[in-house]
Amino acid sequence: MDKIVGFDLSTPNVDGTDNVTLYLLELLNSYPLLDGEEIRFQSIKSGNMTMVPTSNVAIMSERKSITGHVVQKCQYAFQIYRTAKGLSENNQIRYKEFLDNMGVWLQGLNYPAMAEGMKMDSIKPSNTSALYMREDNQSEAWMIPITATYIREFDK
Amino acid sequence: MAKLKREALAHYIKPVAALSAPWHLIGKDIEDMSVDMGGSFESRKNILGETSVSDTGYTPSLAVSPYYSDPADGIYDFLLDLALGRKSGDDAKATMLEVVIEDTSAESHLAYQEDCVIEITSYGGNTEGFGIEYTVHPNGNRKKGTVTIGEDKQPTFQAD
Repeated sequence: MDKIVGFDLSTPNVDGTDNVTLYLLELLNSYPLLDGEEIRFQSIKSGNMTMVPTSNVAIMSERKSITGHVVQKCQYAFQIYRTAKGLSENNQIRYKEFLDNMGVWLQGLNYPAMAEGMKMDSIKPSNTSALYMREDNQSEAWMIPITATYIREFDK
Repeated sequence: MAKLKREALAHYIKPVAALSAPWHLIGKDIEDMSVDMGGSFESRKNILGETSVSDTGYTPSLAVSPYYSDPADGIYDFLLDLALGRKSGDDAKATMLEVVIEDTSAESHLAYQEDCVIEITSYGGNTEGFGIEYTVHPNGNRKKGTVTIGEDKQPTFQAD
């Protein structure tokens, strides 16, 4: 596992906005095979798809040049959940494939521009999707863990 | 006063053939860069045990590595032409500016302007980017003065 240099507390929850989360949410909701579904942020309801960050943005590396220009490589780890109730075995397979295919789609994208000074480098699943939990009432959640890596540059 | 950060010493260049071009601040992707003074000093000891030092001065140079090509940089076209056009001599002439910024809030800063010649040392490099490495050779006509830095971060030199 890469060593974490620090945590970027400036992007999440600054003045109530989160540049990276909003960017990713908009990107996820542009997935062509969503078929009318919407991926929401941290919304746990049966039949929903939801995106849940798993930690603050981690700064994986930081380089400062002699001009005071700083380049950070940051990672934003999150999970996408797809919940349902009483899925047949075939539908469970479809749910898993849906999430895995979304992961493949995210990897191959030309990422749209981010805010000034930021550039998305990669968005990759850190594992294949799997059944995350199943409750006695047949509610179940399938989950795929994803890591987005972006570059942030600024003058110090 | 605390010790100065590395960014307190700034080096700018611009080609002689494009005097209206903006000054290029060297070092955006560089973590370590120094002027090699190339001093020629010789110390001798005579039979009386006395040491004397003679010198023929300095032949400084500034090796810039890496520079990752960015077509938006004012210096890019010049460096690319030198490298791929295999140009030298008058085509490689430029002006350099060395600025010492002791206090970022000051109106003006100590600076030296000098003619220079750019030598392309290599181009290409690894997967980080299209690198063009070069060396700045100061070439005389050195003037001491001050620089004011505008809102656009461009320096304006005023000789003493």
